[in-house]
Amino acid sequence: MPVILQASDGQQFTISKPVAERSMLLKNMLDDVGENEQAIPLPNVSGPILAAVIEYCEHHKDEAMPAADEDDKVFEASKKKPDDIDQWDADFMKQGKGNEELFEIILAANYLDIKPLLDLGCKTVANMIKGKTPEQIREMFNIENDFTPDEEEQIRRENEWAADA
Amino acid sequence: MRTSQLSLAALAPAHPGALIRNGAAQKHYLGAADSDVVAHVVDHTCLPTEVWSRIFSFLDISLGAQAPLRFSQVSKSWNRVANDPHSRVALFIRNYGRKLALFGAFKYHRAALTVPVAKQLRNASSALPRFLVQLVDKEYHRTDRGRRGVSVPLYVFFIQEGYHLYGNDAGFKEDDVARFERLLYTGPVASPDHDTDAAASAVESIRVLLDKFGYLPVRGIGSPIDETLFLLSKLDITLIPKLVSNGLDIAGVNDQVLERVLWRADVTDEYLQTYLNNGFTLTKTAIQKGLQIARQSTLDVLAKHVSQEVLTECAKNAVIDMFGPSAGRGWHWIPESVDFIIQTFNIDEETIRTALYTHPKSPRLTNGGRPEFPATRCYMKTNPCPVWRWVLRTYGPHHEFTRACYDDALSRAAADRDLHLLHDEFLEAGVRFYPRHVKILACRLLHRDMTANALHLLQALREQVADDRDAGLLFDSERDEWLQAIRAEVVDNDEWSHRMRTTQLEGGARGGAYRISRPPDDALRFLDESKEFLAELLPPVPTIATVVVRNSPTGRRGSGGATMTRSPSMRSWVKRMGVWWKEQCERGVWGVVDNVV
Repeated sequence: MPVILQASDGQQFTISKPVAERSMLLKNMLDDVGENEQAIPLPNVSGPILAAVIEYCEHHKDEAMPAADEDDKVFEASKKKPDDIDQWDADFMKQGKGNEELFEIILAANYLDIKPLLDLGCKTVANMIKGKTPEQIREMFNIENDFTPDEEEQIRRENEWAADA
Repeated sequence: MRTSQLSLAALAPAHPGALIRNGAAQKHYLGAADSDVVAHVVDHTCLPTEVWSRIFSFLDISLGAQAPLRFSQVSKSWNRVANDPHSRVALFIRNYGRKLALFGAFKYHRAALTVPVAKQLRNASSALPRFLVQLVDKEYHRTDRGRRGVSVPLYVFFIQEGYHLYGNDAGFKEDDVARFERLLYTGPVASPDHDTDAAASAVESIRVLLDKFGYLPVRGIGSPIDETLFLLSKLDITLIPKLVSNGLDIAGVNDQVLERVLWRADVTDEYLQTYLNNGFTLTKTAIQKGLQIARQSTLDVLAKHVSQEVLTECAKNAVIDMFGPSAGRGWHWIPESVDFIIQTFNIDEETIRTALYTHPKSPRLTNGGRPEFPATRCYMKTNPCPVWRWVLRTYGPHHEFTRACYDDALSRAAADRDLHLLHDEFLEAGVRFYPRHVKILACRLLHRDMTANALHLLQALREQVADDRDAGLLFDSERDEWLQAIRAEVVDNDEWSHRMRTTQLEGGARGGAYRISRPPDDALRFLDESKEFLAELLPPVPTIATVVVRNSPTGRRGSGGATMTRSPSMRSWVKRMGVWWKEQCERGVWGVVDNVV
């Protein structure tokens, strides 16, 4: 039976149960209340973002669900690298998505508990940070530098470990 | 089962951001940290802290990566994320795996490994193999560590945890790494006369290290992991799954180990299968590496495991690897191996183009060269000469591949006898010089130990062009190009001339340039030969007419009483000379000349 989702702006989306169950929030909800013809309100997610999330879930609907804690699986370093993003996923994150939309997708993935999408969003942001100076990162995310020069120097000394490897 | 709208609405969050900003709810969905940390929301982006913490965990902390440091310098709120023990724990687990996170943090990021972080890592099931406790003890007692030393609280933590885990077997002063390596590398396995009983005893000792003390080979300590794993697999392959359960990232060494397996002369399907049954995977990269040995028995084994289509794809990639800067462990360019793969899989010229060129799709320049340097990928090999020689042999002297190889062979700054011999082989085969090569030779001349070679090549070039000219094969346009090249790069190039007389590249301190008091003889000869070459190339000046002296009754008298008059042929010569001069100026033979009348 199809599942109907209602975004914060009232837009409704009808999707199949396997697609809906990519979201642990929806899966638990559907498990608790059973099948229902009525729309599930998602006041945290706007229509366009929900459409993007559904597109992602549709594409990945046939994949095995990630383990409750994927880090318990045998570690494979090659699969944990932020650069290692599937081509479709990379294109999905690029398609006309600015920072705002990217963050909204991350928020939606966080809220709907879609771990693979949350990780994809986080990896994308991590890749955006890669190779940039603090000033460039601030500019990219429109962040104000609230350090004094003394604090900056102290931070640099305290965090030298991060460049020590 | 049906339910009311009310029940669904009640299950859904009541207002935007409810779950995100609520610490308790977040813990449920993300398994996240302390509520005081979770409640904090980073600036304008509205992403909750645990999401930033998750982003932080995806940063690269490998050698030289600066991302975590720069992350911490962005703002106070980002700095709090970077300093939060939960963030660091997630970062280490993500980068080193759960089991090896504590080892990775201690070995590579000691300053970030505070006791709370170490405790959290242990709570998150990070392993504490005995060799790590031994390593901590050894590092703590070292006096030369400076700021990389082990803090007392951290040392106490490791020692306490070590005692808790291993009790009287803690053996802090022992060295499990050395013991394991001794058993593996100098024991019965490495011995040529394989003693079965001794091997069984070694296996038993290794098994104790693995089972009881959580031993596993790690990067940065002991021998290379792939080599260790291969030796261990030869001793008893069933030990490999135990290493994996101890935290070994088998995917990281899978291809290198299988490469060793596939390169064995006695490899069989059954032999390979034992590896596949014990955690190894026949990946495309492993097949590529295996194919490089170019052995029929390996090919037969692989054909039983993968389709012909996959095998052909891997063979193409293997050829591309072979032509590249580094084809991997212990593989050196062997022409027969390359020929075997190319013939067996009918590798086409397009694949060779991809394998050979640095940028296969870039168009050639109008001067016949390629726009990028180096033109060939193999240029970066330790010794690319065999590859260039193979290209000459396979495609002949006039093929574009050969020309690209010749360009690179001339450009390669190495006083290598094989390279100089290769130049001659190319020339003897009929490879041509082009005006673009003059610049390369001029640069080559400035390199110490290559000056003589540059002169030799210039002489060969001059001979080649002279032969063309004598055979009437040197067109005016080509002659002009040669003239321009010789002038621009050598004869009229003041900067080059100055460097030639004062500086020799290479041979100075740390491989740099060094000053010379007088120019090398070969360099002066190079300049002289260039000038002679230039003179040879200049179009012949119209011959001056013979002055004919005639008797004239009205003219000036000569010594013999005869009257001398200006010959008409002289007037004609002056006129012809003027026309010739103007033509040369217009063709740019003299460079830029003002006021041509």
